[in-house]
Amino acid sequence: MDELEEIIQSLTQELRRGTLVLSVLSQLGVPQYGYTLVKSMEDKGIRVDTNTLYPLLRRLEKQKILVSEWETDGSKPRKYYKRTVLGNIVFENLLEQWTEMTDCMQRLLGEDKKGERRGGADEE
Amino acid sequence: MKNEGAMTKLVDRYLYDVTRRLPEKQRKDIEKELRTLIEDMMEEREQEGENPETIPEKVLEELGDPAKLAAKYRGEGECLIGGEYYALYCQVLKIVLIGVGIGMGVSFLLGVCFSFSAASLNEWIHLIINSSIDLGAIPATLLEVFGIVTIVFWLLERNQVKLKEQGAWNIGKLPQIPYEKAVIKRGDSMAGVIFGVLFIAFFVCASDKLGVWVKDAGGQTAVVPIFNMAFWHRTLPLMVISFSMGVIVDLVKLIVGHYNFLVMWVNIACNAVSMAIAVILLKGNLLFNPDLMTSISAIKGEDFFGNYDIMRYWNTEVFCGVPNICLVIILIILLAEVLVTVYRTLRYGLGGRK
Repeated sequence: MDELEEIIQSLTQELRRGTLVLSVLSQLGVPQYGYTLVKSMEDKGIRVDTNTLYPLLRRLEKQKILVSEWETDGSKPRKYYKRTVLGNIVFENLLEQWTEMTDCMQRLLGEDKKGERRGGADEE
Repeated sequence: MKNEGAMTKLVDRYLYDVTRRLPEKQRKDIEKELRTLIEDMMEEREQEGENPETIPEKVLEELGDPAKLAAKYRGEGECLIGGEYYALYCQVLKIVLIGVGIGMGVSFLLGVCFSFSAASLNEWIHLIINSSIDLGAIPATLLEVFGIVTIVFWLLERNQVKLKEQGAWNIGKLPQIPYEKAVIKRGDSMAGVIFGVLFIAFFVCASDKLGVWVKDAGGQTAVVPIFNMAFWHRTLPLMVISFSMGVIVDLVKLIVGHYNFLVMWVNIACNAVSMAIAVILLKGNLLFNPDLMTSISAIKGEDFFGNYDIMRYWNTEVFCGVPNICLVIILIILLAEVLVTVYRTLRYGLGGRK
């Protein structure tokens, strides 16, 4: 049973991993620093590990999808990230892909449900 | 917070452990960012009323292993040899380990066999003990080979070396399924490579054992060389080249796996070289030891060969034909191999399955 749980967990994680970049990009139309980003996403039900998000932000910055700026006015120095122009284009495209994909998945999974119902009816 | 100093120290140590694994240029920036993060996380827990003593520990545990965090920053894959190289890595490892293992095993056995002429029981025991050291060296050598192959592939992985400039794949790049009769058996080629290497090793290392082993009246063993040692410095390199040609052909066969133009031309070229060498060695009449029989007779006493023993005529007119016969046999074998290869290549090797 433990093994089954492990398999399910790792597959779920894999599923979530694919959505990570899109969820992060969606939030960075306005500048935010890492920790508020984690918190705001958590509030909306998307849990991201901090130790995954911080390196990811940096990688996206290196790819010129995000741009960062140090804010030293407050009590602590904070690094704010936001989408670049390139980042906007990437985000729009990913969003389009996502919408299309979820539509298709919906259709695919809905089909399965119907099949299941039919199967159930046959058994009766 | 009575222990603030100790707490900052813990955070400092954590940050150090992360940043020391990162490129120098990024260290400061990442450290600054992570420090703020850790402070934010600690503050949050404080506001939730957690025990301040254990907060830093918990926060750092949440961030997890510094090595893993640093690896994420470096953006590295977490494997020594990644998917791109793994299949090839396994293949190379298998061939090399099996080759070396069999080679060492066989050479150990040969070593035992070739020393048995001098065997009293005492010497035998000695021999086994000495050889068992050799036998013990096999696992160590295999490990060594394993290590070397792994390091080479790790370097490839690290530097992301492209093994082949492949370009875009297209349907034309699908391999033809070789016609059944064009397939070269791996076992055959492998055996060819191994025995070729063993022969070379044997000729180079143990040429003094190549001969007729005779015991004189006192029971002392002597080796009368079958080859003409006066010209050995000339014979040996030619023999090594000749055997190397065979090894090259078998290696190409092993890699390609079926008859095609590459195999055919390599075979033709290498066998041509071997034929030339055979002609040079056997036509020059400098290959065999002319004093073979006189030396044996000198050791064994005059009447060692009966009057009608054909060996009596070694190095006389009658025997002059021997090198010629050897030559003809060798040439026929080499030529036959080429003809078979050419036939199989042209007949089966070019098209796909018919």
